[in-house]
Amino acid sequence: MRRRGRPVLGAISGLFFGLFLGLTLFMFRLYQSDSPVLLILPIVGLVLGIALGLWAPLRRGPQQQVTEVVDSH
Amino acid sequence: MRMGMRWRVAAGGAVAAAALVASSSPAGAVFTTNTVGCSGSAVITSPDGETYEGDARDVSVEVPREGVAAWEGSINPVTHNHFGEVNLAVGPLDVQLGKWGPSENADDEASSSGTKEIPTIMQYALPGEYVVSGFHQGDEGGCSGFVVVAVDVSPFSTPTGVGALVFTVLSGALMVGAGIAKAPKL
Repeated sequence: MRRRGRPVLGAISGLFFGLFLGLTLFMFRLYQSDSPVLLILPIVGLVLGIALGLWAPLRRGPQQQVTEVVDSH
Repeated sequence: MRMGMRWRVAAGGAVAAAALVASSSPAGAVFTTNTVGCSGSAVITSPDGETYEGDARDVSVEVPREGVAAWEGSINPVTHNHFGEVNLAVGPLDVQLGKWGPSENADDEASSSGTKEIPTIMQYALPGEYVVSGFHQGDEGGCSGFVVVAVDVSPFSTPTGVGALVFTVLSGALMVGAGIAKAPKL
């Protein structure tokens, strides 16, 4: 069965992660306000979040999996 | 001298002074063109008495979030029918902070000075280095340049700074959570 995560959640959280990561890096003066990084990071976050949600490379914890298998019987 | 005219002359006289008036932050400037001898400087005094100085020839200058700025600017020769603007660079975009003119400058004013209190909103501005650019153009020539205004504060000492850090962690955790595979439907 094909695994699937949460692409919508990934898109939204990725967008905000990129935005706030950009602001954090700006605050630590890693670049100045005219840097395109401020706009690029939210876009990268959006794409990365969607990709993570579709690919779902992380597995659920073993306790949860066991519970689900037991419940299914 | 009328206040509006004084402001325009000061702004035309020095991109640095113009940036100061428009953004209420002191500034240093790098001129990319300067055919009319634009010059200017500013000194900000913070509430604890510390002074921060900026000159039109500086590349960047540290500034406090509170205080009063004393600025001055001049041009030589005097320009007429001049205009200009000051912009804050945000990524590839420019946000206009202020503009002046067109103005005839019939009084042939070449310099001005004044004081400006830093607005309260600056206390909530994110720390960092802000690039402010501007230009002044008249019949006799003009000048253009940019300034780097560095807000002098720790990222951990402001609500906006702490908020940005917290939301970075939270949104990052949510993004990782989105990558966890859902339980298969049996």
